[in-house]
Amino acid sequence: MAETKPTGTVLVAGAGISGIKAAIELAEAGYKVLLADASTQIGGILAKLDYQFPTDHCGMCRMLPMVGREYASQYCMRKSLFHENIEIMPFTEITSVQGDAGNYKVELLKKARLVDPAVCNEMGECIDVCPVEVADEFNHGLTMRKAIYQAVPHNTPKLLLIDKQACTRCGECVKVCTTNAINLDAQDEAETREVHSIILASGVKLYNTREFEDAKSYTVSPDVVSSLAFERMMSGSGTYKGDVIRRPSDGKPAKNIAWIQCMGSRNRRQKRDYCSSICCMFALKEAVLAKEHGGPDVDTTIFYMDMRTFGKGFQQYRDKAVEEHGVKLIRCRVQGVMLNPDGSLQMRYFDPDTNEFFVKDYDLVVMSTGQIPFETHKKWAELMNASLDSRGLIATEQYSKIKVAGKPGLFICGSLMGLTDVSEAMSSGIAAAGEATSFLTTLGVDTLKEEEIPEPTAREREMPKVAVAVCKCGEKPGAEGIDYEILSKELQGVGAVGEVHVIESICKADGEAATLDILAKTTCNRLLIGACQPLMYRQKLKNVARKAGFHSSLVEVFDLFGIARKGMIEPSTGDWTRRAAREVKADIEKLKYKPALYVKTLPINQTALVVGGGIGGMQAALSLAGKGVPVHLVEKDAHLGGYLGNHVEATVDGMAPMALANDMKLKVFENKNITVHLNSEVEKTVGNLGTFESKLRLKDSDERTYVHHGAVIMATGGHEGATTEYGYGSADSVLTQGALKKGLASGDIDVSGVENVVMIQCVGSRQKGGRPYCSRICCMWAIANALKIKEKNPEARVFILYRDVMSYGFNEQYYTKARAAGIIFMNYNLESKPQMEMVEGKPVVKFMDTVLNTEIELPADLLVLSTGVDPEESNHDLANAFGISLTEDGFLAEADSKWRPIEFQKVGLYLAGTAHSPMPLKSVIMQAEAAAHKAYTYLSGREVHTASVTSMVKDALCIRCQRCVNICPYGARSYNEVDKCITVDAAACQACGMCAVECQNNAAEVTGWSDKQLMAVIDAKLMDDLFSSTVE
Amino acid sequence: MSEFEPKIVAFFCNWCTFTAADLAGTSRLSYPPNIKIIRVMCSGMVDPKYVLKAFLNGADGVLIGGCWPGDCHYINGNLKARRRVALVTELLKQYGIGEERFWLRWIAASEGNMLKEVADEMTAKLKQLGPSPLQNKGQMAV
Repeated sequence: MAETKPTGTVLVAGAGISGIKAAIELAEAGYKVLLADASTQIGGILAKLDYQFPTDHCGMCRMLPMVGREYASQYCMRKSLFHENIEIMPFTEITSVQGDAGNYKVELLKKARLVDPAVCNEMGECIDVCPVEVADEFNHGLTMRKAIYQAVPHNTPKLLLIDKQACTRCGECVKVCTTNAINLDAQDEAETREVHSIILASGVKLYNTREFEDAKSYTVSPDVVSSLAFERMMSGSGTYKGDVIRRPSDGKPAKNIAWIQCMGSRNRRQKRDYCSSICCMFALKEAVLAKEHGGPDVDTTIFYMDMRTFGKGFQQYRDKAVEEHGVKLIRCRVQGVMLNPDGSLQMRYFDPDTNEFFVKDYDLVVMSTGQIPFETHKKWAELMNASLDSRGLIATEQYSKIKVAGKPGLFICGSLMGLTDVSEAMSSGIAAAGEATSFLTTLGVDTLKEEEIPEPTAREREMPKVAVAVCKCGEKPGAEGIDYEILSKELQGVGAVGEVHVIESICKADGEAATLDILAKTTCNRLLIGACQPLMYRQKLKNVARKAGFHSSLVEVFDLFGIARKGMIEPSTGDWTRRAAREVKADIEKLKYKPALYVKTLPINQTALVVGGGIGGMQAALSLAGKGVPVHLVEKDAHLGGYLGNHVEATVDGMAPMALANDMKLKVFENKNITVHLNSEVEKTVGNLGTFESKLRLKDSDERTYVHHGAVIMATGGHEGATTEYGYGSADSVLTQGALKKGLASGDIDVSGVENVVMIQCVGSRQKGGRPYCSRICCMWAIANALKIKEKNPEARVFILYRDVMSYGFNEQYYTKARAAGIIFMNYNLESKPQMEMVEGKPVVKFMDTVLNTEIELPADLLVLSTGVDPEESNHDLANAFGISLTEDGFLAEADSKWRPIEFQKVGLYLAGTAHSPMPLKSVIMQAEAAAHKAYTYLSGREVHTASVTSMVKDALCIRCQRCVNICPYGARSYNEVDKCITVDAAACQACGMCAVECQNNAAEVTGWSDKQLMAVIDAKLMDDLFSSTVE
Repeated sequence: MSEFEPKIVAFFCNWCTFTAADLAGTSRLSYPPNIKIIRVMCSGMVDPKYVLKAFLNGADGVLIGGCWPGDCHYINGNLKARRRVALVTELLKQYGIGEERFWLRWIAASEGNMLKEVADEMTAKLKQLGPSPLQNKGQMAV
């Protein structure tokens, strides 16, 4: 035996969604994760949000792992997180970090909660008796809470704690606590842990309207709230419990609501020359939701500077908000709010569309508050001994958003990179996990080895006999209302029940021994356990069962105390132990008919196919090859590099894509794990998950190559769009931004003599009939080119005609720089697009100036068109070859726009870069890294374990109508032409049960969800009712 | 005899509505015990025969709860449920069970309060309508 290596351990500091995602990804890759958060709970900002666009509902559960879902046993992410490999440490601060790469010693300070969650029975009587009331920070001070409280209203377990500052130590809570969970003298505990790598995911401080001087002219009334507070006002668990939105000052329904954008951001005077990136979409979503909640008579207006809808689907959401929901957008920076005597809020603004001043009253004003990153960055830099860049942010490696400069093993993700939306937070979390995994593989540490307990033979052919074990919950007499005698007697009477046991506390060691003892002696062949928090113990109890020789799928756990709690809040129902017994009976019935479930293992080909040899594709290939995975890299052109790597020499933020691509090309060709297929396209792909076979066609020849692989990364990229507008093609002086960029770099375009340069943004973009989306990069390209022209010829006048300048994040500083350099920005809108005509061979641009309200004519020496980014046409063929779908715009459609941005619905296929949507270089590299990590964790398993709950076919009943094949949303069912039968790809099946309903002959069935089981459950639910007034 | 207590069989999708019911439970929002919850993975998994079975076995109402359109964990199972419910409603009418006894509602995981409202509303409605016309007639031997 080789010596035992230490288990790779990673500290994730910050348990917002990016931290959680990084933690889950690392845990799934087999590493141990410490997930610490300074606040009292996990979930970060998202814990406060009930709704996220584009669906305007919550979807956090979709970030949970898709494979092995029955063992994840968790369904709602907002409640909490449960994972065997993740140790969650809320309310924990990192006080010092010693050591370096691969060998960190971290001092953690666990703050005293004063309530021991391991003992607390969560009945909440302590909250009722607490005499202290303070403002609840979770609801932004809009509601009150006690000194002993539950920090997040929807958390499970509730995790009560005492606010030390507010507590008067009156001791009332201690008196009523039946479990001695409260210790008012508990002290903070320091702990030292050793970790190999650290991921910082703390998010950044948000602008607080009460703290900053520049908010004074707005915060004149409690009815001026921040955007996060507004989120709590709409929430079902928030201020108004999901009722209509009211004014905090007097509780009147708010009918007229205004949003003011860029509060705290884009403000040079306050040294905050950046855009907070997410507030525009946040405000749009809130305005739409306010309309949905309050009805059509609610009026919503957003006052903005530029509506920055740069991400995938953002512009379409904006169009929908305006056209379908009637959200008003007014481009005006409102200078302040005034309080009317009747309590309403008055604002004066100028509407550039009508050229008029208005004075209007509003019930509620929401301030779209942004980020204040510097403080957080400074704190981390000091703690980690990392360096700050010129902007005051933690410096990262040149082309990486994730890797901290000069600190291997230290990574950042999420809003520390600048405020990110959910989708980017997800990608960054995965990418950070990927970078950490790459780092850990170089260290020679081990992954956690699962305790392999072989699955015993199921005695499912015997008559079903169920043993029921209910937990008394030891020292926690939380369920004191349960009469165990009655419960046992009731259950004993159920036909299928063989024996009923009451166990002291099943989660403790002696409880485990007692359970083992029962299982050893029992004559039953199925076991039902009633305990609290079934989510937390399910996996553990299943392992116990296996040890005792029980097939783990024939052991079920139900939430006894959940039923108890429900019973207690309904005093009218009287004897609810019997009611609880009836609920348990349904579980017994379901278990009785449950077949034993088996996990299948499918072989996997540990090779990856990367489609597209641009920077994203090369990055993904290099990352995978570096971890020892053989890669086939397919590029349709004669050389690698893609659009950026072959056409763009420099970007405005000092990056050199062509040099980077050349460097990467060398690495790719040198790497023995990478096979490059140039001039090749994927013609067809066959095979099941884990074992694909792709046919590659060599361009202009009959030659075909076959490659075998287990995973696919799609990195097909994009290219500059084409146009026929504004006389493009009619004269040399009308050109695209891309051509100008190339010409300026090579010197082919001489700007020394030019007088006027006019640039038109959004040519064919962000409009119906063209590209409905924003191409994200054109504004920065225009600014880069304009600055270059100014540099070469300061006398030249450069005009940029724009609709919204998309200089999000720290790109804002280049926008500021451009204006300082004398570049003139002029706004136009779709209704009055610029006109162009050729006068004596020179383009003349005519447009309405919204400030002067007059028509302006500009003769241009150069007319430069920002034509946006088009997806590759080959996406259509590839989508067909791989069985994936495209968005309306021709980009590849990811599994979920927010929560699974780099996966497809089909397992084993991932996407990166501009194939997803237009994005800047660093984001491309980040996504490629994330996709590579996803593919790596998938491929490194050697074999795919299918879920045990999958759909199956009863062949004798099947009439081969193939309706199930058509209805399956995952393409898991297919008709086998050779054997003339329906087959199920167990690894692709997600057990949604659509096929079972569709099948007319009951030939399709989901194991563990059979008709027989559900019919028995329906019976049990309707039998023996307490309200037997009408039946029997 | 006490007041008529309707029996409502509720098929709740695991990801949204069942979670909402859980949330209602943990946030101490009490909803009537008349609602008998059966967890299914997706509202699209509810076979019409389950609905018929529930009515035949003495349910006074059936409620299906799923995720909002666009939120389905299985892409579009809830939309399939919606189409199916429309058909089953027509079928039930033939047997004298009106559509006011068979409800389909979208309730997201965060909408514990909405779950309570729907449960209250449906219970009240069924109390007003009285027992199902199938009561004591279509009893199946169990």
